Amino acid sequence: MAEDRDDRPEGARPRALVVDDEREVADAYALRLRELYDVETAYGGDAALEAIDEETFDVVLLDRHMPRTSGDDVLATLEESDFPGRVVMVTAIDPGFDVIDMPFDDYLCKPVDREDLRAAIDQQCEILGHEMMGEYFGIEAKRRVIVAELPESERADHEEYRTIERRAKERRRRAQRLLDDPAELLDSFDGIDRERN
Amino acid sequence: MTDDGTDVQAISLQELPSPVCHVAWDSEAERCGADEQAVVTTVNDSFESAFGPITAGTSVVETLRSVGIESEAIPSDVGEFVDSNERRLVQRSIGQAGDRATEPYLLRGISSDDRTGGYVVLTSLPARGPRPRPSSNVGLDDVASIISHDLRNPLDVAKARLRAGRELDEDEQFDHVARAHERMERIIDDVLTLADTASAATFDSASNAPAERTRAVEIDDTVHLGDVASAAWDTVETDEASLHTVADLPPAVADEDRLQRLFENLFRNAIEHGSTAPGSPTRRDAEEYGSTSPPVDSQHTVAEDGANSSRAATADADRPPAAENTTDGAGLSVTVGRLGGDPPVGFYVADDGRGIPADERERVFDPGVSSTDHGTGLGLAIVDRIAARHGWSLTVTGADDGGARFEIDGVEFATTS
Repeated sequence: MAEDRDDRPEGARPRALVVDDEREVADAYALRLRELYDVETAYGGDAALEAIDEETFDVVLLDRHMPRTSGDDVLATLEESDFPGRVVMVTAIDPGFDVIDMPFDDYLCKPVDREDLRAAIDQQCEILGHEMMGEYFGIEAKRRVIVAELPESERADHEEYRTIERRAKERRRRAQRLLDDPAELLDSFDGIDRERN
Repeated sequence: MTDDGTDVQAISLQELPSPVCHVAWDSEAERCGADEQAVVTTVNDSFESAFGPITAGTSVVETLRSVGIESEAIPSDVGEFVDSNERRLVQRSIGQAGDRATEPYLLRGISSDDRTGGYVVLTSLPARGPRPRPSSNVGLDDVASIISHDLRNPLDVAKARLRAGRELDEDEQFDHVARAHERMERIIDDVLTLADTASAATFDSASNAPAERTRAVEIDDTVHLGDVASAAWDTVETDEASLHTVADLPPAVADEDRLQRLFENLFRNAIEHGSTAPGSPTRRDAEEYGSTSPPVDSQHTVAEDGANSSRAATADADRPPAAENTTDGAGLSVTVGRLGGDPPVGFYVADDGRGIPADERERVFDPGVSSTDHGTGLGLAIVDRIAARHGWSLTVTGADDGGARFEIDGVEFATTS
C-alpha cells in the first residue's frame, strides 16, 4: 500500500481511482471527474490493486461485478491492508443484505448523475480530510513533545521518530488538500501550548 | 412412415409409434350450413395410450384442446393444415393447476390421397438435453433484472458522453454515445429474442405475461445450414477468426431467422469467450463494442465433403486448425459440422479456443450467466431457447482440440445424402 508516499504539493487536487472492467464506463466516469480531481482508471480488480499499491488515492470508485478479481474482492483486500482512503461502490448491482458486512464508505447505483457523483466524492474527501487531520494531530503531538525534550542529534538517528515525522507531513498535506478550510483547524492545533511551563 | 412423412396410409394406423388420429371433413355440418370442420374418426392405440380415449366425431380442434395442446397453436383451419401437410411445434400443458408444465410436440398434418380427410400426428419431442435445466426458464423478474443491470452501464456512458459532447463541443464524444446506444440495442434485441423463444408455460406461470406473446415456431422452412451459418458469420464481429463449414450438410427443417440467431450467438460466444485471456483490454473492446482493431478480416471457408478450400487453414472440417495466438478472435477457428453419419442427426458448432471448464458447462445456458461483466449473459440462453422451440437437444462438450463444442441433435433433415 502506498502509505506515506503521497508527496504531492499542498495545492494538488484530490486523487480518485475509477475501477471498472468496462473501459468505456471507467473512461466516462473519469471524464465526469477530471475537472475537479486527479483521476486515474483501472480496468479490472487486479489493475486496481496494483495501482493502489503504487500510488496514493483518496477515493476509489469501485465497480462490484468484474471478472476474476471482483469489486468485492478488491474491497476485502483494501480492508485487510488498512487502505488509507475512502471507497465508494459504483455499481449496477442492486444492493441486498450482503452489503451489511461490506466495508465500503458509500454505495451508488448506476446510472449516477454527475452532480451526485461529485457530491459523493466531495463528501468522502471531507471525511478523509478530517481523518487525515486527526491522524496528523495525534502524530504531530508526539513529534512536538519529542522535539521539545530531545536534541536534534538524538532525533536524527531514531528510526521511529523519522517515521512519524514523515507520516505527520504526509497526513498534513493530505488533510490540507482534502479540506476546504484546513487553516482554522491547524491554527487551533498550533495555538495549544504543549511544552512544559 | 417415410422421410417426407406423407405416406402414412401405406401402413396401418396402429403400426405407427406416434399418436395419430384419422380425420375427415364433417359433411353433416356442411349440410346444416355450418362451416365444414374436421372431425376425428378414429385414433391409434398410441394416441389413446398417451391421451386417453376420444369419441369419434369430436372436432379435431376440440380433441387437440382436450389433450392439452395450447389453443393458440391449434390450426384454425384444420382442413388446410392437413391438406398442405403442414407441421408446427406446439406445447402441451400437463399437470394440475398450480403445478403446470408444458412439453413440446410436433403437430403434423398429413393429407390422404383422395383429399377426403387425412391424419393429424402428434410426436413427442426429445426432452431438453441430457440434463434438467430448472433455471433455464426465464420470467419477467429475470428479464427485468438483466435489463436493469446491463442497460445501466451503457446508459451511464451515454449520459456522460452526451453531456461532455455538449459542454466541450467535442464530436468524438458522440461516437461514444453511438456505441453505447448500439450496446443497448443489442441488449434489447437479446432480451426480446429470449422472451420470444421462451415457452408458453414460462410466461404464463412465471411472469403473467399475456398468452398471445408466445407462439409456436413455424418450422416449415427448409434451410441450408451452411448458408445460414455463413449469413450469421457475416453479422458477427469476427475479426481474424475463420469459419469452416462442412459442405455436405443436408437441408434441415428449421425457422431460418431463429436458426441464424442461434448461429450468431454461438459464433459470438466463440469469439468473445474462446479466444482471449479474461480481462485483457483488447478482449473488453471486442466483447463490448466491437473490435477496435482494423477492419474485419474474417474468413469463411466451405469444406467440400470434408476438405477445406484453399482459404482455410490446413485442418480438416472436423478438426479445425489450432489457434496460434490469443488476441481477439485472431487465429480462432470455428467449425460447423454434421452430427452422426448418413443420415445425420444434427449439427455441431465447435471452436479451438479455450473451451468451457467441465464444471461450468451445466450453467452456461442459464440467463444472465456470463464469464464477464459486460456480456449480457443471454447469448447461450437464447441458443437454448431456439433449440428448444425446434425440439432440438442442445449439449455442450469439449472439442477434440480443447475448445468448446455445442451439439444440436434431433434435427429433422429434409433429405438425406
